[in-house]
Order: sequence, then structure tokens, then C-alpha cells
Amino acid sequence: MTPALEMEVPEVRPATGSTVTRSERLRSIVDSHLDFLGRSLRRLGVAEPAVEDAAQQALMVLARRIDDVPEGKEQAFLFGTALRVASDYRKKQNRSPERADSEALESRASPDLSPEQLLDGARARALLDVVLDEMPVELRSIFILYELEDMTMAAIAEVVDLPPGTVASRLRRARATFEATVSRLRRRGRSR
Amino acid sequence: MKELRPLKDSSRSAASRALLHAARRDALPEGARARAIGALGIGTGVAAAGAATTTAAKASTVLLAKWIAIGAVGAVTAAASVGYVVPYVVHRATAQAASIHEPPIVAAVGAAPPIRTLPAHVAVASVDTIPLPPAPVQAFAPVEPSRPKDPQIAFVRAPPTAATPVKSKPTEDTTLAASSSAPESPPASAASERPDSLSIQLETLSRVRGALSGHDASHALVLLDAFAQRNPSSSLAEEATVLRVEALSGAGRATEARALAESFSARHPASPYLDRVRQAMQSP
Repeated sequence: MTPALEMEVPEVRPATGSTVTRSERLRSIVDSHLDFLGRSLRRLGVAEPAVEDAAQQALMVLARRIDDVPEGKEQAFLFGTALRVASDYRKKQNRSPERADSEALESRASPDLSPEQLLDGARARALLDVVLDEMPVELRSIFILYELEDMTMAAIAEVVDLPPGTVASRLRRARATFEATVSRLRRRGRSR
Repeated sequence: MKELRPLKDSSRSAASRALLHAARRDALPEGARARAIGALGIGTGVAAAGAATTTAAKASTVLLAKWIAIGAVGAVTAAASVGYVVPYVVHRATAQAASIHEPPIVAAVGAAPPIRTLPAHVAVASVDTIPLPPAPVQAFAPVEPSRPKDPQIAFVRAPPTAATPVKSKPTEDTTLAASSSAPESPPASAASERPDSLSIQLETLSRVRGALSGHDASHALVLLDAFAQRNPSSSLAEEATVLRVEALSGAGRATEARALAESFSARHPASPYLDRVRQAMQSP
């Protein structure tokens, strides 16, 4: 076991007055946000087989910085970390494309959005990756939180630490980009 | 701030809707929580570990079958899903974590209530036939719009209430489609049963496609009838109708196929499936 994992658990006393150990707080965050973290990583471009490792990386960062994370900002911290983990992942994938998810690669080769492709759940999911990859990350992050995570714009503003007006305008741009990409791929599929 | 209707429900493009619905499959593999707890070295709490094991064991039978079916897990993960920790994951993640930049800490916004402890998958497992990724609307309580600044609230858009059901009645597609080949189908039982989860719906339509490619149009129609009956307001109704046109055509029921194709074209003039429907009519 590496030294980093032998975590001492000194007690911290937050403003609420209750006694919460560092371990208890970490466990609570895992309980509350691990699923969100995993979904976010996946939708930010991490291939399915790599998502669990990526989630553990993000949690390790959280564990090291736990005392700096204000209560109520855990989800925002994890999403910020997920953005960086996913960015590193995508860079690595670009350097070694042979490691990329084969389903996604295959879809990239023929993203024709035919009914057959859309009716195949796994294929449709891989095609969603292709469409999302067309978006700049600042639009993609807002898009996935709103469209796939069902968060309100106010909540997203908290998570990404942006003014609500910026979130709203980026969301509109992201939706337009998404629809335009889907439409383009459809046309391409028909012309084949 | 005016919330927009999500594209997965409101987009005029069936392709957009299908792609966005496909993201409902997104979820960590079973047992990921237990492994994460182990990786963080905080797994000594008896209550937490016990809860994780129990929950994992409850859902593991169905979920593991699903994951193994798509080749995502092997025996190692299967063992871990009932509470064991896989040491190599810990070391690998630790090494990688060292290379990750850390995000800036944003300022706290006011005092927050204690953190919610939430075994989200418990609620989800009881809702769906096969547990899908925990949807936020199920994982968190609906939020009062009057408290938008509370930093602890998950700010999830409230699901449609009972007073305003989004999909309370069958769509034209499924109603017409079902009646075109199975007018005797009793609609009452469909309304009383819970619709299939999206993954099961996709699987059913996949079987329909299999039947069609095996030139077994009558079996495809049986599957489609069952699909329409169980899922009167499916988001895949358009796709089901397209398959039904092909099945009717393949079964030699050209008149019904043509009627369904024409009504489909009239109702969905911008559908990406129009070409496909026309093609089915041209090749009886």
C-alpha cells in the first residue's frame, strides 16, 4: 500500500458544529457524487472502459485537496477535476489512437446516423461521442449538464462558476451546434 | 432564468433524440463505489461497507449479466462487485492521480447543511426492470425554485409532476401502428403496466430487426405488437413504426404497410426515416 493511501483521519470541525472526520466526509462525497462523476467523465470524452480509472483519479485529487474544498462545493470541485482528467485522457488518446475505443472509432469511420445505427443502443452511444466531440469543451460541459444531467441553469452556473447569463448563452450555442452536427451527419449518411 | 425543454424530448430531429437517449446507458460498472472507497483507503467503516455490499449484491445478478453481455467486465470485476477491493486498481489510480492538475477552488457560498448520504442506485434499481444509470431526478429530491442559491442543493430540474405528465397518452405512432395489425389488442393492460426501460425497448427493437433480417416478418410483427402495447408512449415510437412498415411489407400486407407509411410521412415530414419508409414501399 502506498503511503498516500494510509490516510490519517484527523477530526475537523466545520461551522455547523458537528464532528465530521475526513474519511466520513470523503465517503459522503463518494456516495453523493460518484455516479455524477462517472457520467460526467464519460460524457466529457472518456471511453467507457476507462471511466472507472478516471473517476478514481479524480477522487484521489479530491482526497488530497479535501481540506480546501468548501462544503457545498464538492460537486463543482469534482466536475472541475473531471474536466482536467478528461482533457488529459483525450490528449493521450490523440497521441495513441490505437488505444481508442473500437466502437467509437468504427462509428467515426461511418457516422451516417441511419436508423439501424440509431436503433443499436451501443452504436447510438458511440455516435453521440462523435457529435459531442465536435463541440468545444466550454460548450460541451454546459450541454451535458443541462441536456443529459437534467440540471437547471442556475445549478450549472454554480458548478462551472460562471454567470447565469453566460451559461444560458453557451447552452443555446451548444444546442445549435449539436443539432447542426446531427443534421450534417444525417445528410452525409443519405448521400452515401 | 427560463429553462429550455431538453432536446431529448423537444428536438424535431429523431436522430438527435435517439442519440441523447442513448446517454442514459452511461454508468460506472457495478462495484465501482466499493472499489473507489478501497482506493481512497476509507473503507473501514462497517456501516458504509455493509451497505455497499448489500446494495451491490441485490443488483449484481441482473447488472452483471448486462455488463458481461457487452464485454465490459470479467471475473475480477464480478468478484469486486460484491464488496471486495481490487488492489491493483488502487496502485494504478494513485500513480495516475499524481499527474493530474488540480482545479482551482471556488469560494464557498454560505453555510451548507450536512452532506446528503445517498445510495442512489437503490432507488433506481427498484424503478427499472434493468437498472439504468441513476438519473438525477430520481437520485435527488426535486428542488424548490425559491432557493436557487443554496449551494448544497443539487439543482436538478424537477421531473414532470403527476398534474402535467409529459407522456400520459399514447403517441399517434404507436396507437396507429398497433391498431393497424392488432386491432384486438386490449389497451387497458398497457396503461396499467409499467413501460419497459429504454434499454429493454432498444433490445426489443433489436430483436425486431433480427427477425426482419431473417425474413420472419410475422415474428417481427408479434414483437412490435408487444412493444406497442407495453410502451404506448415510447420515445422510440418513430423507430418502431418504421420497422412496422417494413414488417407489414415483408409479410405481404402491402395495403396496411402503405397506409401506415403514408400516415407516418404526413405526421413526420422531417423524419430521418422517410427515405427508409419509402424504400420499404418500393421493395415489397
